[in-house]
Amino acid sequence: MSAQPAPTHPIQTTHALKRIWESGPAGWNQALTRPAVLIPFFVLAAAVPLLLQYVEDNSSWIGAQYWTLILANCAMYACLAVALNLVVGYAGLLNLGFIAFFGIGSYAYALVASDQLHQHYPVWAALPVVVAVTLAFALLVGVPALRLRGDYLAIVTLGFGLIMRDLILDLDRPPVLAGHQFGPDGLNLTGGTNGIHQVDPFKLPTSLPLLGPVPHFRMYYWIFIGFLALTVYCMLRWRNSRSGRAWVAIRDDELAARAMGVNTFKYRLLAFATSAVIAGIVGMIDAAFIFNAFPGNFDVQQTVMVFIMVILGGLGSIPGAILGAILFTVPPFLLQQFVFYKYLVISVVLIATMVFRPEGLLGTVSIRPRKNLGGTLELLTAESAVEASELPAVTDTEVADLEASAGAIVEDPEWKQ
Amino acid sequence: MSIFLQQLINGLELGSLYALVALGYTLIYGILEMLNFAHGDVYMVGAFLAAGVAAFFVHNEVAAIPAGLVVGLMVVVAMGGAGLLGVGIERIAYRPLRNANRLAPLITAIGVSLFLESAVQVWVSPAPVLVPSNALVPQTVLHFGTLTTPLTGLSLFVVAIALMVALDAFVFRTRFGSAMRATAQDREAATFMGIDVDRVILVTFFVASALAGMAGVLFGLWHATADFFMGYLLGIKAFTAAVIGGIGNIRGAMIGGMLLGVLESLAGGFISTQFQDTFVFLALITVLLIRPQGLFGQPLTDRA
Amino acid sequence: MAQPRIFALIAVATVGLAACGGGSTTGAAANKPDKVQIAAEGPFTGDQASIGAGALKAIQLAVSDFNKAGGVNGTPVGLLIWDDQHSAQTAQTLQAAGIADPTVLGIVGPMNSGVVLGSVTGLQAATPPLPFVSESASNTKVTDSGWSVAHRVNARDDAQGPADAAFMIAQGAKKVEVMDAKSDYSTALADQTEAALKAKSIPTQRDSVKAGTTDFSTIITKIKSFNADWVYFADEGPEAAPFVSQLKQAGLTIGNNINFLGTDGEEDSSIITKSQSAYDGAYATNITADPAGVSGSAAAAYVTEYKTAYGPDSLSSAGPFYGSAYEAAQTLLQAIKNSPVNNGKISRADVISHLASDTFTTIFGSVKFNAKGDVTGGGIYVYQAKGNAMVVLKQVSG
Repeated sequence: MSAQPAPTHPIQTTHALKRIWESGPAGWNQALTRPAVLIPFFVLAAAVPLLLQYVEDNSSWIGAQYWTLILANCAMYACLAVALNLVVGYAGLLNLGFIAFFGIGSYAYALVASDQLHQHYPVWAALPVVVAVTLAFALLVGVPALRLRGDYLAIVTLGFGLIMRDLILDLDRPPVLAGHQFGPDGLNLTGGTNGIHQVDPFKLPTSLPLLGPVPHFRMYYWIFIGFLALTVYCMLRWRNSRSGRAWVAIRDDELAARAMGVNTFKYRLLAFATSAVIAGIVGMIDAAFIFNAFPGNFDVQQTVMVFIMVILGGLGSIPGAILGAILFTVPPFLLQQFVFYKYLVISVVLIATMVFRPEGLLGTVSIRPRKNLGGTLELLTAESAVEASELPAVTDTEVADLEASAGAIVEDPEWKQ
Repeated sequence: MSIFLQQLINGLELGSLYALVALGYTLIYGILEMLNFAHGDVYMVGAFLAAGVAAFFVHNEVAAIPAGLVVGLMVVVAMGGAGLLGVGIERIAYRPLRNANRLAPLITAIGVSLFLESAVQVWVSPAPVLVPSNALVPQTVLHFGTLTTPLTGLSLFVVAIALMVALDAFVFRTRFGSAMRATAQDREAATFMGIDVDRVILVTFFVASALAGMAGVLFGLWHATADFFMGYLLGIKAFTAAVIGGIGNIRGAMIGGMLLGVLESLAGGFISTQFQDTFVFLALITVLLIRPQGLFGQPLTDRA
Repeated sequence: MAQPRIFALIAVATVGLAACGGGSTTGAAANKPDKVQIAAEGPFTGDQASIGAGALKAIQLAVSDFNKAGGVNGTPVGLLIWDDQHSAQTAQTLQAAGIADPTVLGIVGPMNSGVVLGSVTGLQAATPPLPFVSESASNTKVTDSGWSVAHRVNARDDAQGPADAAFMIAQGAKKVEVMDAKSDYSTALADQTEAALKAKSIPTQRDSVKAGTTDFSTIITKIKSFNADWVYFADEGPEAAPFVSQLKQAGLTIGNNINFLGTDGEEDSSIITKSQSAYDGAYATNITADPAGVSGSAAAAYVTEYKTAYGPDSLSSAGPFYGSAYEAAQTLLQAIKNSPVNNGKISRADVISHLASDTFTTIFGSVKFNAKGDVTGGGIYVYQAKGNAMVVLKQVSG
């Protein structure tokens, strides 16, 4: 064999960012979910309202409250998108009734913290109630439905969402079935079309040391951001745990996973129930935030909104989910006069994303048409295809050497078959 | 008793509508194993096409064209237009994802459905439009003792049955129908048999969407209205009907549709109108949990 | 590219932030305020656009007329448009922009009771509180709860409900089918009417339809089996037209063997066309007056002005509140004008006290708010569909 070919051009050291850029979505996600990126992101996010307030105090601009409210809505949707990403992106389940769990959480809290049932639980007592109620509904739907195929699960969850919406609208009076009234007169569980008003906010201090007085909207922005940070942290830890590996296995090839003894039903239920409970807690925070629980929380359009955030941001990607949330909450407020076209634009973006780039912006889960049989979703590999131009060029002498040595091997009598 | 019969009649008429649209769901699912969420909105577009044709001729009184001809034109335009729309959707949104994971075309279908609804809302009319049925079809009300039904409702029922019989004959007694059934059974094997699978899929989408378009015409002539949201709920209910009958099974879809219409009318009439839709969805969930293959479907193999 | 896109978004947002500013310049003349704004809030797009769009046009006309007449001592009033899309969450976010801006002195709207009830605590708790005058919110709680910011020019559910019931009884109703369309407006109103009917021992049957329903055969069969001679349908949306068409198809013709009473959203001549005249003979009540049907030169002049500004056909899509929206805007603008100017600024507290105490001149005559924020002497108007139009029959004071 000849000596190692001398490099014909100096080895280029690629810049770290360029390396990350070239490593594809998996690499981007790894880079973006490092603590070195996440911690500054959340610290900066938490500082934004203080920054806005500073600008407002020192100039004639007065949009601090308005923009903090918009960002609070954005943070809320980011939490929902991360939760939906868990159930659709990781576990591959199409939960079309997802937003119903958000609504259930908001109503559950409203019922124990308002005049509707004359209960006024503080937040630490209301939280277990909300979690329990949401979990109960998630199990009620999930245990029977998760045994079904993906598309049937989609329909069952859609039906569940529609039923919940109808029930919420209709239960402001005792139901009358076949002429019989079930329940005492004046029974008003859900406030009907009006929803439940005057819901208690959480009893929190109205001023913090060092930060001074904290108005309501800023406090809830921080609560949403904090909950988002907590959820992201838990997702990341979980992803690297046994459950996370199980989800990857189930997604890659369910048959093989089951052959390996992975209890697919249990892990699916885990993902389904967890995302539902997260949505329920977000609902609780929202009810305290806007002092109301509305039947509009159950609208299917909301599920579609969160879906598109996850799809466009990228399935399986937490930064993608957050990015999707930002992209779909902030612009509609900026472009108020075009709000009439909102759903038109959203639907076109969704279709285009699915047709041209189903993995979205930052997704790591490919649902592209597969070229080979078997498996459900393919995971894009982390290794990037090395560009041919980056390989050191092979000179003619090297080619001749290789041919000679190859020929030597072939003609080696020892090798004859 | 007569109230029961009256609700039964209402249910059968409503059920005819569900059955026509359910057929579309079942045809497409049988061939591609995908749930076409946008199918209900194809029905809606068919109704709008019919409304447009009707309004044009009735309000412009073009050379006193006989009403029968206008109705015929409505049917042709609605069925043809809806069929072309279905084919177009398949080409643009579903074909690129044909071999993808099952989630992908489902999500795309949701996008297409939302797009059709928004497009009609923004560019045609956000408020319901009138279908001037008074000028086009006789508005006689038929009486059978204390039972009543408008002539348009009875025609809906009769035409739907006729179409279903025709479709049944097409699928089970023609060569092309055999090709469709073969493709539904095993797409790859059908290719080996020399069947042009792409063409079969195209025709299936056309037929399914044309049936939905016809349902739109019949609805427009019956209830004289069309609005951009009409396909959403009806689509879900028609899909429920297809599932109850056994998705992929044509006769199941027909019977499932009728059954669902009757169930809805009886539940609404005798239990509560408020919870009418809730009963429909509960029926769906119950069937899916107890007998996922529906009444006439094949037992499902447990696949991912 | 993920990161650069976020930066671009922040850049755009920052530009937007800068552009959103509302500054106040130092005052000049003693009585001339520097900057005055009001907001119009309502469901201008979305599922209730049919009532919101016309109201917005009316408010825009009111502001431009006011500015042409000199504005507030020479300063024109600016109009912010807040499209809450019938959602209280959106309303709260939009209102936040105005709450923080001291030059925003009041809101014309919100139009929906549900949105009012869902956002009023924020308006009341603002420093200073931001007053509103609604042209259509009819829920009793809006003015019964003691909020100083709450005012409305329309009648309340507990006036309209009993008035509707009394009308039907006076016409000889024996059995009434009460229907609502599951919205914050219609359920509350239907409850009031049903209670008033029950109080007079009239048997009723109650049914609800979902918004957007087009097939009513099940309910109509129930109506027939109940042998109702009156149908009362509280609705603001487009369900009335297919409903009455299907009534006719089931053999029930209005004026012949059944009678129909609708409410605000059904006082609309386009229903006659859309039901292919099955609506002929139907009655409808409205909690506000239709300027086209009220005697008085101011109202007639307004109708002419509206048609000139928006086209001769514009009344058919103006919705039921195009008159009361103008009226509400007039009261707010006059209250602002009557308020004192200190250093070029008008305070919201002064606007609130003037709203409470002054008498205003509107297209419907003199208007004064009572201690709760309701209009004293507000009437309910009864219309009937005759031929191609809704004709006003009489006013029933509520």
